[in-house]
Amino acid sequence: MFSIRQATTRDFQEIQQANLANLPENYSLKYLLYHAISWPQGSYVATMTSGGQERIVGYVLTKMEDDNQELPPNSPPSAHITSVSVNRTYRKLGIAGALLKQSLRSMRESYGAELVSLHVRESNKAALHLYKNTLGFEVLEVSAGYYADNEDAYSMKKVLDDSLIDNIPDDQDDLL
Amino acid sequence: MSRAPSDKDATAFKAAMNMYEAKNYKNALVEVDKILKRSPTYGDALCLKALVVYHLDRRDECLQLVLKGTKEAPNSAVAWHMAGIYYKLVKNYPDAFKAYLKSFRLKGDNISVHHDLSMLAIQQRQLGPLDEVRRTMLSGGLTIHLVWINLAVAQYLLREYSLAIATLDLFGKLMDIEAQQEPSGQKAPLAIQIERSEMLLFQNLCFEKKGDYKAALDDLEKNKAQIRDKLAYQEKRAWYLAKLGRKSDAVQAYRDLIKRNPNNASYYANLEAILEITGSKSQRATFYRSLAKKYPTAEVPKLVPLSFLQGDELHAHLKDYVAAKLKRGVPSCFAFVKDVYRTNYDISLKVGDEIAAESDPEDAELQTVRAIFIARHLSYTNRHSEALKVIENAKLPEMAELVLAQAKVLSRQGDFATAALILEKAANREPGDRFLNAKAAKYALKANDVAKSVEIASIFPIAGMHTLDGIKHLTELESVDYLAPLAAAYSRVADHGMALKRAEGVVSVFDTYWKDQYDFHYYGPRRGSVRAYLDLLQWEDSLYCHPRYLQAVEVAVKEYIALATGEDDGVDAETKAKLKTKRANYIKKMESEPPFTPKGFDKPEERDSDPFGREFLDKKAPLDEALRLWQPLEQARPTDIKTWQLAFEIYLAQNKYVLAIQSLKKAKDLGAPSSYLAYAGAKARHQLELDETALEVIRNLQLKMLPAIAPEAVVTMGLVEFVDKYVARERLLWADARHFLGKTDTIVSVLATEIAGDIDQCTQAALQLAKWRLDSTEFNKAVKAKWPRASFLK
Ligand SMILES: CC(C)(COP(=O)(O)OP(=O)(O)OC[C@H]1O[C@@H](n2cnc3c(N)ncnc32)[C@H](O)[C@@H]1OP(=O)(O)O)[C@@H](O)C(=O)NCCC(=O)NCCS
Repeated sequence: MFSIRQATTRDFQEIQQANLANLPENYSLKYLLYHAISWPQGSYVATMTSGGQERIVGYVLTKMEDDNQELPPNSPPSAHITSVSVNRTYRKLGIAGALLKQSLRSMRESYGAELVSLHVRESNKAALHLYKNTLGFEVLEVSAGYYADNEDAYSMKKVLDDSLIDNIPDDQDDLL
Repeated sequence: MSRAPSDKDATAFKAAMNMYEAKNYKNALVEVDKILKRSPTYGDALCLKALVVYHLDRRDECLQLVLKGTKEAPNSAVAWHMAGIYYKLVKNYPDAFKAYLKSFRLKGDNISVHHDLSMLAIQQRQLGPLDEVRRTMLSGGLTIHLVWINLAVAQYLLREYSLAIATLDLFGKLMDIEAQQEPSGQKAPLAIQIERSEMLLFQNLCFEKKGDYKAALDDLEKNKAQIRDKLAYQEKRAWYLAKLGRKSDAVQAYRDLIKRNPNNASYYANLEAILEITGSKSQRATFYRSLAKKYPTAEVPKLVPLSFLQGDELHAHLKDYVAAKLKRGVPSCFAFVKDVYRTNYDISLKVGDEIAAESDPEDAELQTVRAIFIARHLSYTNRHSEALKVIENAKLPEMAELVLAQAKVLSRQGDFATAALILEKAANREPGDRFLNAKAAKYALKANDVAKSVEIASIFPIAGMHTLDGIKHLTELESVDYLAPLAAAYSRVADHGMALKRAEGVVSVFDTYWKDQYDFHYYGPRRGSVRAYLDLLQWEDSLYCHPRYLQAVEVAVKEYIALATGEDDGVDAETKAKLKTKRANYIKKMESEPPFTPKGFDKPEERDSDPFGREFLDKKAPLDEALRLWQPLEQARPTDIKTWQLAFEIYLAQNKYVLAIQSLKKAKDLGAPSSYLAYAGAKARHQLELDETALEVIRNLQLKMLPAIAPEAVVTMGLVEFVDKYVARERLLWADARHFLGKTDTIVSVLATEIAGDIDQCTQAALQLAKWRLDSTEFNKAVKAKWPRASFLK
């Protein structure tokens, strides 16, 4: 069975391993637990259960910038996407898009986030499409040599409003 | 027993203490040394000296000073407090807890002792002392938030939910009073609102845990406006409504949740249960059909019917489902329907074959995705060469998803070498994709090409310029999903030092995971996210159940036993000597190279002074090490047969027969297979008979215990005859028994005729035969006949 749900602290070690298998930017479990406990509503996982075993196939980690010392005082509450990835064979199914939408809605509700920002490698076409076209992020600036291997990053952001809530009619069609 | 310190010493001690607290360590040391010269048994001063030299980086002296200090002053709260501080600094939380508890018992009024003891008691899950100290802290008249929250947490953990609710009620009142002190008319700052919301949800959790759903629901509704976490509100409310049997409200609540997240499988399951349609296939089918229509992009309502439909309906639905996925070009299509092969094999077989018989689409990508599905289908239904043919005919042979499927199909035929090779190539074609890189590294392990695997796995760490030693970096990053299989692979290729080094590396990651929680005992409640913090405690409580921990321990135990018993690993002396020289040269070369400074660091990285794990091969008492690693399993997996099988092997290697046999008894009670028990019984008897250190009488007593585990004949029959009769069903165990009995004559031919059909067993057997130095020609021939692509034969 496939499912998308909010991550609990219990998921973070598996998220750590999924991150290590998908992306070059990695985190110690302690940092991820700090993430989990500071912003428990922000992270979501996509899972596949087969033969009774649930496995994470995709995740998004989102935080608030409330621990960012560099932000000017009185800036609006902002969310930041720490990491998102989906296992190779599960890509292009809309999983990352669905994870991000759930996450951003929770960040808005729980923490009053008004903005969300992220960094993405200049060469990452899939992620750029996802952020720009699917979710409506804008490029703020290019951060030169942002990554450890010196690749440039796009710094992107999006204003959060209630349009995140999918427009599903409140009809009774799904009733028996 | 030490005397009370003289006035002079006591005054000097206070002065030294002040210097220590002012971080003036050098002067503190001078002062404390003066005291100790006069009064070398002054316990408080000894402990203070330990802390002082700790901060002067003379860390190897500390433990002795602490032990001596607490021995000289066993009734000094101060000495025990300082001992506790030391243990806490070195993250030895069990001893820190004991020291703090002693200090607290001796003199109960030190606020800083309270604070640390409260953290340590929860780290050690000592709930009695936890509750006691946290109540003490509250009666100290402290009104800071943390004290209240911590007390409620302790009460929650003690399952005193009503008390926790009362504590949180009082705390809530306190927060209200504080809020009133804010300038009127202003909304509380966001951070306070969030903390308040979390507290309310924690309190609500207490109502739920009490099982009082009515009160829980009322509480939730009462606080609706203050609860910011809307998802938690919605989920809890729906759950309580369902529990209270308020059917129509519950239905609406779950429908709202599905609307919010139409991909959450549990919402559908709960809704079904409330509607009481789980028993009726046709109602369920209608239910999911209408939801699938309403949420066309959601996977779950399309997927669930595959688990309950039968016959023609299943056939039609499965076929539509797969067709739609293939039309969209979804490469993971097979993974979504794999479970149906388990529950409804015949229909899956039929549908898959029908799809395979259809004609290919023009579009190259769609054709390739279809090939992936068909190949996985054929392989899953044991038609391996046909599966490979389909892959060969795919229009985009380099498509990574196809190569991933191809590698899977090849490994199911025992061709690990080709699987690893094609994945490596695929990873090289897309050097930015770490998923492929990680898979390539894992498949190289399956092929027992450890050097290759390490090279591949190091690509990302090195490209990131973090390090020259990729695996060291992966260990620091706690990459246990790679490191544990890496240890197992080293063990397979008889690289004992590396196998132990990597296995111990995994173990130390788990120990770090355990220690990681410490800071959160403070941070979690302070931040207010108690629910997330309680989840952390729960996860940590079952930490050592983790399959990667088990995997690492299995490797290490096997290696330590082999080390202790001097087991022959089948590698000839010449090969060993060559490797040794090669490694010595490597170390020489490494040491002559200039140090490397990773990006963003100002100091060069520390070199691994023992790159090949010599340290572990030199252990004085390898079996003690094995036992140390095994112990957490006893706590975490007491009902797992494997735990007791490992214990049996360790104790037997230690010649501790009673403990070994008791472990077998546990395995038996948990349902261990009879052929295993017979095998183990035979092994125990065989060793007892050879053991000349054991007294005849005792030996006989121990032999008498065996029939409680294995068939009576284990003490009467000849052992060869016994294992031929009682262990034969498990061919690999039988072969092992024949080997330790020194009767290897029939092993190869029996394995050749009996296990050639099972590729997993063949893989293991090939390793064993090489280790036992048996001529495996006959076995290899039999395996080749069944598995022409097998790449693992020696
Ligand atoms: C980036 C990534 C998370 C996208 O995950 P995903 O589940 O495949 O994304 P979705 O299916 O939700 O796709 C979202 C959109 O991106 C598009 N897209 C996805 N992969 C694409 C690709 N390789 N090229 C172009 N567009 C792509 C999809 O078509 C979809 O567009 P649509 O909304 O217009 O239909 C995934 O590719 C990944 O894990 N990559 C490796 C890790 C990574 O790079 N993470 C991002 C770090 S910032």
